[in-house]
Amino acid sequence: MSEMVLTLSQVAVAYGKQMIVKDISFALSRNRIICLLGPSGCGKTTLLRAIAGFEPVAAGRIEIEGRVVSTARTLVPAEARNIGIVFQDYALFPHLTVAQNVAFGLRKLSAAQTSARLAEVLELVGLPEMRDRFPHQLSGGQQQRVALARAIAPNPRLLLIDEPFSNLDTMLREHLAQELGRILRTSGMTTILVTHDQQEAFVMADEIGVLKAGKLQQWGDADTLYHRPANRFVAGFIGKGAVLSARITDEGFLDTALGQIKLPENTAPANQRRVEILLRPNQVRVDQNGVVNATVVGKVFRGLDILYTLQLKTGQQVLSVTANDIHYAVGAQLHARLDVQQPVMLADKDAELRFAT
Amino acid sequence: MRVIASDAGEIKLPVALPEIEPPMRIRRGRRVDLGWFAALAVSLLVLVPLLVVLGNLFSPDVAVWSQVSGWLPELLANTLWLLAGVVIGTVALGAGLAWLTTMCEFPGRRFFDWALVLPLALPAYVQGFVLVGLFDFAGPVQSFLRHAFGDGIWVPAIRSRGGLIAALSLSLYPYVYLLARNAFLTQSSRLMEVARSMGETAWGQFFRVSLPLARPWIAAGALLAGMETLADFGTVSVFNYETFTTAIYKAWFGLFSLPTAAQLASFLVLLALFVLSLESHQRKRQRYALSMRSPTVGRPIRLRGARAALAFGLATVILALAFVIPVTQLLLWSIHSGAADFDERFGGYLLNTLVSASAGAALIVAAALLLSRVKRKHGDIKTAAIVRIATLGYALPGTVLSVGIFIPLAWLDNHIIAAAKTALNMNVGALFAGSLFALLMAYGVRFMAVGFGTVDSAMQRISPRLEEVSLSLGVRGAAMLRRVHVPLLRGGLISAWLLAFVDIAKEMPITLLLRPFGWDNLSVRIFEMTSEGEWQRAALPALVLVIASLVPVILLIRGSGARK
Repeated sequence: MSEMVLTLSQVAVAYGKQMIVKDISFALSRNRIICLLGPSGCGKTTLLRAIAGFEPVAAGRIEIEGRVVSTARTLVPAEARNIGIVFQDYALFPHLTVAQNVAFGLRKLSAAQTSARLAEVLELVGLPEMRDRFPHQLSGGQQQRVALARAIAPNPRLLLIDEPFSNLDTMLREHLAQELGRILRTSGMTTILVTHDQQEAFVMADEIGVLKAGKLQQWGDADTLYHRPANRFVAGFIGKGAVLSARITDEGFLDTALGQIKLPENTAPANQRRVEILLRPNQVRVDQNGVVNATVVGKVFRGLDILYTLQLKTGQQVLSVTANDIHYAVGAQLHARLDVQQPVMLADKDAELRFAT
Repeated sequence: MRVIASDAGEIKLPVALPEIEPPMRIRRGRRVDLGWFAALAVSLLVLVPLLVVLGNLFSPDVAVWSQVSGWLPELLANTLWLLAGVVIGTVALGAGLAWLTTMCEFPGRRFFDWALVLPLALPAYVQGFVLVGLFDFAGPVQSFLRHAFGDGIWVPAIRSRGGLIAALSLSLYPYVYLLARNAFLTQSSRLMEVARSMGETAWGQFFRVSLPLARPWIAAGALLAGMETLADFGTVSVFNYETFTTAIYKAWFGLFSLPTAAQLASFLVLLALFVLSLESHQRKRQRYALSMRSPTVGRPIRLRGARAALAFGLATVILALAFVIPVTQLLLWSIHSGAADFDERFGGYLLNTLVSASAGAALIVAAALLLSRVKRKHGDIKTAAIVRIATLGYALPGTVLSVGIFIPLAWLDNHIIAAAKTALNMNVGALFAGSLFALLMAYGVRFMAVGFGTVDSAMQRISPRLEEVSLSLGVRGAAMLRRVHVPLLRGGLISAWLLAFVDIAKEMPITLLLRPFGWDNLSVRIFEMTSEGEWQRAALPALVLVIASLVPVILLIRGSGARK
């Protein structure tokens, strides 16, 4: 257990009588960066605050390096946990300079050690020349890096970052996400990030936990979440896609409006004939040769590619992506076919869902 | 293994978790919070005097009761007439002037907008004695009139109920003015434009839209003025007008009957609590009367010709009567007789005022910081009640507080004296009653709300995230207070200290009733001189108080934001 930095077992957090987070279990090993991903109001920030020690847990327990810090009956206060935190609004002390902010938690060090650590951390975040500025004299991205440096400086066991880019210009986000990822990996911090933006999660995290309404929906890396979503919610939240109804034949095929897909061995639900499958835009190919079975009803030029919305004869709609120089007019009649290696089957809404592997 | 939420919201774990290791430290809620108990103690400093006074409501002492019940009808009638007059006077002046300076446009409006707050720097009793000095039989105004029109001319007596109401209204209207001004400035001009589109005139807009919308603010301001009126001692003394406060003083220092004073105080406190309950009701209504989040300031009503002249004239007369003339008169008197008064004894008064007000204000700021921090840390009803009680003193007249504080301290002294005598065979004097300690305690209780309001609104601007970051970096408790709160609150703490300092320096009844024997300060000096009709000799100490009071008034004006 002790190689695990953080272990959550069936953690629940409540505000009054309202349950915000339920039955969360996961473990985090050293030097990993994980991301809690979910829409706003899903409880991800609440979970982060519980880990930091700002909220008590209603049930379950949280362990840090093998020591219990939170249960329904006990709460090790935040100041005794040695966890660094970077808030959404950075919460820099407005009355302190960059250097004073970063050195705020360095209490047990000598003056020489403090200034050495200060220089080291400011170097890491790339702000050594800003040390005497005040927070209001910095850009949003710089403020964030100061907050990060302040959290890292006392060498915490765990670093928590809440919505790192929500206050920043969208233009800067991707660059800053890569920069943040670099800093975290260089410093070797074990980190939990919270975000609602899947792109940020994909750029920075080793593993991602998807949350909805306080419950963990799926845990995995970006590839798994995208290609093998555990349920309809994850499928819809991570990337674009359409859902198409299908029938399982006795021969082990999926019969759809766009043709048949061979099912891998032993993957069909035992007692289900009608299922729904997830189709990513890249799994639907179109061309002008062949039997017409789809009509273009939507077209979005996205720069790198073009995203078409197609209406099938059954009335269902699917998405298809093409290279950015392949143009079809809205209303064009096309032939669409499937290019699916591993079909993702979705069962009824919100029921326990399984996927083909 | 699943966590199930039952209907009652309780959480059950159907499957037991493995044995839980002993935690590193117990839960924060169970850790004893000394700050919370200190806040409780501060609230008891208010609650005990209040209960002591209320306990005297029906004195078992027949002699006391027969005496008090004889006075009661006149005192009650005098107090209620005064209250009614001042409420009407301050609302008429305050709301009317605020409407002119916020909603209209006339020559000099920008100047009057802030200048009309200045009378707040004049303690009511100073305003009172200057007006009496000016308009009394021997004063310059009547002398001039007699000189010009002969001795037979009739002039209304200044030392009358009407004169007193005028003096108090001129001194207290800024409370209504400030709140009404704030209400008018935050009203949406869209509402006024709707009224105008339906053909309402300027008067119609004022009476049918602006005034009803601003009513909770105007009422709250008028009730604050009412509280000041109930608490007033100095002004009514100057006018020889009997109210509960003067009766309490006479009973205690004239008849040497503390029980009589206590019983009178119990009636006064009932009145004060009644006004307080009205005021808190109005304050709650303010929340619902705010129609829009971001007010839109529209085109002001442009007054022209006679109406502009009328507005200008009205504002000029009020400002002159309430500030310019009294201050000028104080200056003249001070120049005339100040040189003789400016001696060592004056230095003593000044020093006593400075020392007691500085120390009292420092205590208030420390307690306000404590209360604000405790309120923020514990969001529960119990803590909110403690803070509310601890800041109730602004509604309690100084005379009432003095009685309520003196009685338990005297009781404590008697027990200490008796214990010292029997146990140690020692003769000790009174320790607490009539000491600077009692005086500072009473000041603290009376003006806690001033300090707390200022500190707390500054505290609310500190993001809780900053405290959490501090905790996550291992800085908590007193270290957090020193490294995070105090530097961020510095402006608020200084303002709170200044406001409390000035209020204490001006406070008259508490100082008169609780000061140590032979201890005089500026307000005591003013009382002594005015009670002998020596207006000129009261001018110098009054002028010093006015100058000191101008500092927070200027701060207030700078912070209140003008209409563009």
